[in-house]
Amino acid sequence: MALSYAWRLVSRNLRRTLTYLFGLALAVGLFSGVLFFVDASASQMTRIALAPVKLDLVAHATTPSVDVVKVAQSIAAQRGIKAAQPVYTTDFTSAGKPGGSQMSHAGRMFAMNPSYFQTFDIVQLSAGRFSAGGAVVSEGIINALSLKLGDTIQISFSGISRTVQLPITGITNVASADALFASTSGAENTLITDVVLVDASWFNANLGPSLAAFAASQPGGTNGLITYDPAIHIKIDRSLLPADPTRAALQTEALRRQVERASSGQLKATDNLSAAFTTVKSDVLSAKILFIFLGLPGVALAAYLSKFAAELFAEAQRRELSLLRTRGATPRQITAIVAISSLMLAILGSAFGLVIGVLSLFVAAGAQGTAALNPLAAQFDWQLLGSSALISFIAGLALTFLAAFLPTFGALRREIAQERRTVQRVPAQPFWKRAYLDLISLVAAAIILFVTQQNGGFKPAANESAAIALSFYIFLAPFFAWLGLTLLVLRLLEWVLTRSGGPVALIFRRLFGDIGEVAGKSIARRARQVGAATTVIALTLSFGISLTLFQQTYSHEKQLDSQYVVGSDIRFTPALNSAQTPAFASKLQLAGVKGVTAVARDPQALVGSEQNTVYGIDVPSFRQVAYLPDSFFIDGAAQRTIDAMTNHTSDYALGNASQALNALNSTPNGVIISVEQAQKYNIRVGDTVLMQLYSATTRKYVNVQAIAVGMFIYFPTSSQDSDFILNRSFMLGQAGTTAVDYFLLKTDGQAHVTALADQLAAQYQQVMPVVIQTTTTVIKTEESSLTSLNLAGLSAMEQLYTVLVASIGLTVFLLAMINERRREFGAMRALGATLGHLRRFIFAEAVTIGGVSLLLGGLIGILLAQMLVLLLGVIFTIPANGLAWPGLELLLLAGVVILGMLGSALLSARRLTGLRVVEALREL
Amino acid sequence: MLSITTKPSPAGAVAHAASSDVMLQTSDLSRIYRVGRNTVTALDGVDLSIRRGEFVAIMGPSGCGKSTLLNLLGGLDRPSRGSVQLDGHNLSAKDDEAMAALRRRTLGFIFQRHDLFPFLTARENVEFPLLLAGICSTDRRLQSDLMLAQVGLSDRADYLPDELSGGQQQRVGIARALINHPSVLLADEPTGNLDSATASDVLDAMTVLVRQAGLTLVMVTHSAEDASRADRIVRLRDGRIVDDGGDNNGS
Repeated sequence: MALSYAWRLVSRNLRRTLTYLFGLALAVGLFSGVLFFVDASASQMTRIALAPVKLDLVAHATTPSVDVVKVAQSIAAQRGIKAAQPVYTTDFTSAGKPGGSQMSHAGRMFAMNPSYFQTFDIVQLSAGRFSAGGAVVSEGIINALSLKLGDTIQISFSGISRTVQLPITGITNVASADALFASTSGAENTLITDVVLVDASWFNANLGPSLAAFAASQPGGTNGLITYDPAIHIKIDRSLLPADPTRAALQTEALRRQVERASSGQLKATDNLSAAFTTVKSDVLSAKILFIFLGLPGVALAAYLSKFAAELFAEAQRRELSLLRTRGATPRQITAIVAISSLMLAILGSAFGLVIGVLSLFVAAGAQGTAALNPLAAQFDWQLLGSSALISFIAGLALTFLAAFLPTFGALRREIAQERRTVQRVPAQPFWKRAYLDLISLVAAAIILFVTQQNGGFKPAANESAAIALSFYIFLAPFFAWLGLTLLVLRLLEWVLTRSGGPVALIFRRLFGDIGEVAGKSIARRARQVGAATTVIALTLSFGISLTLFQQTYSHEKQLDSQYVVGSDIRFTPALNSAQTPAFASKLQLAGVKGVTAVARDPQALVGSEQNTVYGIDVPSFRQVAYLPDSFFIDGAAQRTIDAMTNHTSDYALGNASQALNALNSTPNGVIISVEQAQKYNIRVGDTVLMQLYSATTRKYVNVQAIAVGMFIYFPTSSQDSDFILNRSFMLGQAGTTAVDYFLLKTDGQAHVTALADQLAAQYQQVMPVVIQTTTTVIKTEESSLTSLNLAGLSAMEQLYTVLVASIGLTVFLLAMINERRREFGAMRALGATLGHLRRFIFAEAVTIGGVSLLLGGLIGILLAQMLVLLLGVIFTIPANGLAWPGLELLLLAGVVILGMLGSALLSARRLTGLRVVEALREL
Repeated sequence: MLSITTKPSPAGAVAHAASSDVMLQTSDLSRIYRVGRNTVTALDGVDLSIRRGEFVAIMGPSGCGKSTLLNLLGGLDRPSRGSVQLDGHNLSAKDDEAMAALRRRTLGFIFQRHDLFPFLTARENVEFPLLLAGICSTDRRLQSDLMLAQVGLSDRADYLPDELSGGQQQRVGIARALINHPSVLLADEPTGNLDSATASDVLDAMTVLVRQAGLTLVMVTHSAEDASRADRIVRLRDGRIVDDGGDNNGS
């Protein structure tokens, strides 16, 4: 009986059921949408973090006698392994031209099969090819020994008396081949610039046995040099890795053990993916927290809306169930009916919500344009969403229990327990008001902000610190601020509305005629309901606006960070063996290029006893090309800066780019220094700075005396090492060279950057090996996966919800108010009010709720965005200088919201057209 | 003199008033409701004439069609058949907006549950019909204060309905119904929610004012005592007039 009646209760009141289902589905939809987005983004983050790892596992033989060719074959056949290649490593003591006097430093030789280059994308040949009878030599050796393709190179080894001579068949750039240098100890890889690659068969025929014998005779090693290291480079099948970085890390670890197990005791494997997994694990956690906190207000609002939708019909449902009670249904039966009907609604609403969640993901994917987030894409991994779907479904059930079951059940229990009272009871103040929860939340937010600031949470990332860690608790600040502001706005709005009946009535009479006066009084005396409606919509808007602003600021910051790292829009770096002079800049002056500047770089310069990177710039062209905001510079001569440096605070006197660059330009031996290094070396403006520049020509250090003429916090071209900036002409002159290291290009618009980079790549492909970096490629490779997050998708999703919740929210509130006051409207009609009167009445309410919501929503939105930017600015190198305003997007959002509200008002007013006076007056 | 005709008239008596004296007249007035697949006839061919200034009480058991008749007389509902003439105007010929205007000018309503607007004070409630009529606020205030004084609520003018007793609320309802100087006052069980002492007071106030103004009053009631104050009692059963009641004053 309970089941059939519950079904009738649900199915025969379609309007009621659909309204509730829609409210619930909206809440579950947003919740699941955010979770789905987090899942999909997390999987992308894992993918992004793993992308730069070019060599997954390296298994080193524990003894020289291990047959790595055979073991590699058996490993390659293992489950989860895609490929395995034997690689032999040995360090050579020197290399040079046969008979020549100039020799290179000690370097490393790798021997591999020709198929290695197809299997692994580690070694890039900048010229020539890998040949069985020849050697591929690194740009470092080529440059240092003035070698070229076709020359012969002679190499000496420790422990064997004879040297080997090989023709140079190829040139390679090993700058990004650090995976080759992975050590068995797991310590940081040392990048060796002097490298020779040879064929494994040649190696085994000519060097392998002798080196193996020598290595066997020297178990303790030879002065840290690798004598003979047979190893296996392994590529795992990444498609089999779970998207979750934690589980993927476990699986990789299991594969590493599996590899070691293949030849027990003979191999020691190193997992190159683990570091990436560690980083991405913390980034994923931060991203999850970020997304959930960004999405939480929307979910709370949607949940409130669903509760409101449930309450809309609670009274009607209560009446029906009371009738059932009077006809003999027991309290147990009624409870069962309420429970079953609630469960039906919960299941239907949650299922509907999950569909909306997937659709939201589709909206997000539309903005992001990547298949990983697009549920309609063929390669979309539906398994990703499994646990989130389950969580959302359970949340839907819980929400229904709280929003639909408990209120109806409570009302029924009260009804059963006592007669309805005719005298209206004055409702008590809600708990949050009595407990001043609004003020407590705001104080909590302020305390968190204060503590974060005291702990240095808002300080920009120092140049040398690459890792960024976000604490969970800092996200509580915007949450508490949002909660506190919500409740405070509600309290203040009620207060203002209650006291502004007269003025509101007066204004409304002017706007809406005489009936406006009544509407004004109605609004003032229904302050609690109007205040609640206004607050909910205002907060929905604030949520949408803050996220739009935050997203824009985030994208802007990402762009600035990448410009800072690249130095300008494009960086053109010729290979070491084809270094160019500053005059080459004129060749890069293509159509669409506004300016080019050549930059010299010495990564081996010494300041004191420490190695530092010194840059040389041509001030006039550099200032036209490089990204140089004034905020990068400080006034190094100001007493305030000196005090700050002495006290190790960051309260520097502000400077500007022009001042620092002018000083450098007018002082040939001037140097501008990062305040960090100035502090470290105790340098003040005017001090003489002694440094040693490394001359690539003479391969010797040259003493240089420079004068500190300015200071900066950041300097474009590198986020890591741009600490000492000299005049280029001075630097090159002192080092005795004319070669520069790279060129910065300023384009006439961001839109042209990629096209110009492609054009340059095509143009120089056959001419010289070059590396071309743009702001876009830097965002993809150099930033942490946290800063590479695409918030546009989440923002698109949230904007859709802002429009939906604001419009539907207003409709629901207006319809609820009409529903609640059908008798009032009936009485008005009976007393002679025309439909026009009633429409103007409703419109006045809609304008109040909508207008005040827009105003408050905008203000709170800006406040929240400021707070989010302040809190999350830490993940960017350059702190945000205020909010970035997406004018058009905000206007569009406001326009759509206003249209939605207008539609709501018209829809609600239309409801009045069908008002039957007699029926309205007859209602209980 | 009053005249009531039903069709077919159970009493067989047909009386006609002089047309100039007739304020309300119904002819073959019927109202049929559709409830699911069934139809319910709430009123069935009622012919009724009410003179200008006459106080008519309509009585009958629950569901006999009293309120339906009152709603049709006030133009709040539309008949399924027949017509209502109000001071010579055929209500059926008017659209909803014209009916609203007519009600605003000519009719006053008193509801059983007062139906005061909870967000307006007693004075503002009384002012409401004047506001709809476009009267300026000074005049509205003057007239409403006067009317409140007449129902003995001068000291409660600024009270919200929730702050007034049931009797006081109904007095405000009466003041609101009379403020626009209607020709006809329609009262649907005005004392139905009041205790007998309060009901008597309210009814006294209402009848005094109605008599003073020479208004036509049609009152639906269950109370024989209340009905006894009327000039004529019309009794309904199953949607038909079963007793025109004759002249109550003369009985």
